[in-house]
Amino acid sequence: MTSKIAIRSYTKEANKKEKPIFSIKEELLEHKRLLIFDTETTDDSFQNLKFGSFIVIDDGKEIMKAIFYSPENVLSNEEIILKQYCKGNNLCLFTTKDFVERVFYPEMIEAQALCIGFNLPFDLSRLTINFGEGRYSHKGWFSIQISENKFNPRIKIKHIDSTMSFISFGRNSRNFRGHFLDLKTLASIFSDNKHISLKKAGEFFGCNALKGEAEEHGKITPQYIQYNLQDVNATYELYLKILEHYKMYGIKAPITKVYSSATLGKYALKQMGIQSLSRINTKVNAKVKGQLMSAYFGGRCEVKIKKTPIEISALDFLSMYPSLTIIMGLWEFIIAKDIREENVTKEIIIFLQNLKLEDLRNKESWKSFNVLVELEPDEDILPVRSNYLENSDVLNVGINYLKYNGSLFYALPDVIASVLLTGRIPKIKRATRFIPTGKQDTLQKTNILGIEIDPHKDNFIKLLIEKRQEFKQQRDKFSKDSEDYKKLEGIQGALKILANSTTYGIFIEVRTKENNSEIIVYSKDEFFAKQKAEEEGKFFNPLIAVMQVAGARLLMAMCERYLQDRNSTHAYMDTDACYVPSNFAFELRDFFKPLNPYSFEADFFKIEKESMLFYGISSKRYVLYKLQDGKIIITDYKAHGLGHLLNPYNKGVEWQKQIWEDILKWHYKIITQLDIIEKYSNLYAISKLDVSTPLLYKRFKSFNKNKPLKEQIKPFNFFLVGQKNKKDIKPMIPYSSNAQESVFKPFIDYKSGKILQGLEYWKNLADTIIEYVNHPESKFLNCSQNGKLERRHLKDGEIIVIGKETKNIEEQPIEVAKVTVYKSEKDSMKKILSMTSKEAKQKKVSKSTLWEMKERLKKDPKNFNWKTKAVKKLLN
Amino acid sequence: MNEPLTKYLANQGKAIDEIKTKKLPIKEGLDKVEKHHIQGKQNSDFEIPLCLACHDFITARQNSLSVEERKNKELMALKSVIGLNELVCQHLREIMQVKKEELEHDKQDSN
Repeated sequence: MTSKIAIRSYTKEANKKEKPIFSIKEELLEHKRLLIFDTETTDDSFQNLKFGSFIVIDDGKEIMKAIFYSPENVLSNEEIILKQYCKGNNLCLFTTKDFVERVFYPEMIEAQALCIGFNLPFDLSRLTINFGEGRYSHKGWFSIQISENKFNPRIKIKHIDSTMSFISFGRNSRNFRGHFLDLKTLASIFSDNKHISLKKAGEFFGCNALKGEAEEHGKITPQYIQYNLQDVNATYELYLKILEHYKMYGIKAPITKVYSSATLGKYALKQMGIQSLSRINTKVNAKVKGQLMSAYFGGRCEVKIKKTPIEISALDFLSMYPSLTIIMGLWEFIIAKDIREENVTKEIIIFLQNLKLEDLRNKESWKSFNVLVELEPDEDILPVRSNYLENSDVLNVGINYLKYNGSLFYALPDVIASVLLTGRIPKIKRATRFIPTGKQDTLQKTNILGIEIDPHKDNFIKLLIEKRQEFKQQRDKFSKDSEDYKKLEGIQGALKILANSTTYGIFIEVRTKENNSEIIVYSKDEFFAKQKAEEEGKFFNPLIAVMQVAGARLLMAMCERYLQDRNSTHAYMDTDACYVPSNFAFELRDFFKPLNPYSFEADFFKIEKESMLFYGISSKRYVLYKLQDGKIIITDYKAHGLGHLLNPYNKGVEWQKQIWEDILKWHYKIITQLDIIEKYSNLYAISKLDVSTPLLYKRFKSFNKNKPLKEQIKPFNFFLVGQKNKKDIKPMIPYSSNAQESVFKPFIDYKSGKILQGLEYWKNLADTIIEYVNHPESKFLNCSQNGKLERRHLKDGEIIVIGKETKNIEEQPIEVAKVTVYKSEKDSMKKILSMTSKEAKQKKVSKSTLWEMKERLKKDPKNFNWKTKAVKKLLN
Repeated sequence: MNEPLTKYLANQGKAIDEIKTKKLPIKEGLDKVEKHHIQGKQNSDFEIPLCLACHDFITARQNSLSVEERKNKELMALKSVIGLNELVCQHLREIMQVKKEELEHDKQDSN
């Protein structure tokens, strides 16, 4: 099998008008009128609305507090309880229909109130009377109807990830999209916790009214009503606290538009009057952007010593990406009026010839590393994105020996890393240096987080990190319980979020469009295609992103070379952290000291943990522990690959830690594989997900067919999903609180949509653990062996041009979304026309089909259908 | 109807009126000029330059017509003119209000 070498690309739609970067229509910055609501549902799989409560706030005053209920889902005695409770507490009681018609729409559309909730998509979808997938620009969104009145617009919801959704009204005569705010999004940004609950968020922001504990869910009692009302109050208080925290940032973005920390970063840059790369008159055109993108690879992550306990110390670079932005002088590119190119091929070759590890400790030299190198790899150690395992579509980035008969683009730091590790200079064809010139005219002074910033003079990133250090020092003067400590802790946290969000993600942000269009794909080469375009983000600048990540890899390579010179090696590496044998920790810390870019005294490569035992299986699957009196004491573990599974035991049991303990015991031969099988074979690997996209919803079509709405699985309902087993079946089942018992019930197969039943279709936890332990570190040659792993030698692979890489596997336990592979129609045409019947037969396409295909291609290549099964077989 | 509900509905009506009579953010849109299609048809030659805020206001008025009505170009053009007049009236009203307040001030001063 020839291996694939995948490189990223930059796409541009052939006929596209330029849009303004930020919408001209200014959104409201402050909301006077608020509608806050929360719902309670039945405790079964269908999660139908039972009742809910809401409050309307006008200018800080509570105007209305009331309860609404769904008469269809409430028992007669429960209805009496609700009525009595409302009478006793002087509260209004609405039916859901009344709430929607008399409160929700008048408030939301006419009075333009802000609708607030915690996990708002779930609550809104409880009000549904009909739903489906959106059309046109809302393709991929849920379209939810909550009112029978056709003049009331539908609600459109698009799920992005577990904390982030877009919510708006559909088409309406006022052309008004509504104001919606999901507090879960903001709480997760500011607390840096993706799985935050209302209670935890309340605690984090120091709210007085915390979410209560219900004794029993799904049955209406006065206590349960009280619990729901308390939830609404807790949500309102949380909103006020979050608003206060957000105002502290001093960023003038509407709160409803803050979807992630990247939004904060983008608005901070906007506030400083910084223009994006596409807006400044620069030589970095689409072609150069494509070449830069082809040199883009993610951070380096690898287990070098596999399944062999080794004593290590964990070292970590101080704010890696912000620091590299300063060291490599990348801030100048962000504020530059123009970016110049210079051919520096000779200079770079001479530089590489005289390169010594010691020279790289001079931080001034790093400013001249913003160079893109075109080279012909010949057994050079370079980052390669490839499907390392046979019959696998998963692309991984590994630092391996590469030989390729043609030229590829790499950032200079990657080339330096190769020279450090091989001692040879690659065959360089051309090296282009990027030089920032001038400063943008639009730059303006601003105040963010109470800090005066003048982008003409200040390096924003440096200022943020240095201020953070100051606040940290001030904070430590106070006791942990004092108000001052909390305040300063909040500010330093905010500075950290802002520094990280303005230094990395926003420069490589692209959004894949839903529909195909005619595009030009720029990468190593350029070609036309009719596929999904990738729209660049507001501050897309591949130059910065490519150099930062390459710089990070160079730091890692320096660390590797340092140990190599001393006949040692690292055990594990991940982007900004390196686990090295303990005896080298202090030497390495001192070695990197001169690279500290800040004015304060600090270790640039700081020791985080000392003298621990490390046991690693593959990237992000490792454990740190100690052995004391023959006992295993786990201090830190990563649960990548297990994190998405539900706790099979009772709440509060650290089950992942327990699994790691058993894996270690198995390694030390305290227990055997049989013990693991015995312990875990009665438990099943099950994940809990929600029906977050129309595509997922379609899988429940066979389940929902001919059933009333009450008995249907609706958008944002929870469901359980098992792991794919040997029978290639992925069981899906509506949610029930006792997940482990669901395996005995009939389920839907994810792939076929058929309803099946049987324990044999569910993967048990024992199999999952054994598979987990045997997971190969695919980027290495001896990936399944224990001990020190060796690099692969990749030769003459086939180049494929890809789009945005897929998300973390943890976030997609249902199906690993495939990356878009851009194919040139011209090349595909040539491939088909030159194909012989023998070759076609090997790909299971008959001679006659091939002949017909060729005829069609010759006659009318423009209207040729590239999506038929036979064409796909031939081209793959 | 019980008392809290009556009170709430009255408050809701007030809030809605407030939104309806909200002043237009003319100042924010003054520097951006949009070409307004009087008949509501894209690419038609009948267009006039308007400031963004006015264009938004009049387009919203045109969009309030039903789909069937929107097909009628004359109706759309009339809606444009009505919208523009509404805007002028609104501003004249504002000017009048200011004048009235000034007069009252003068009166109080003279007293």
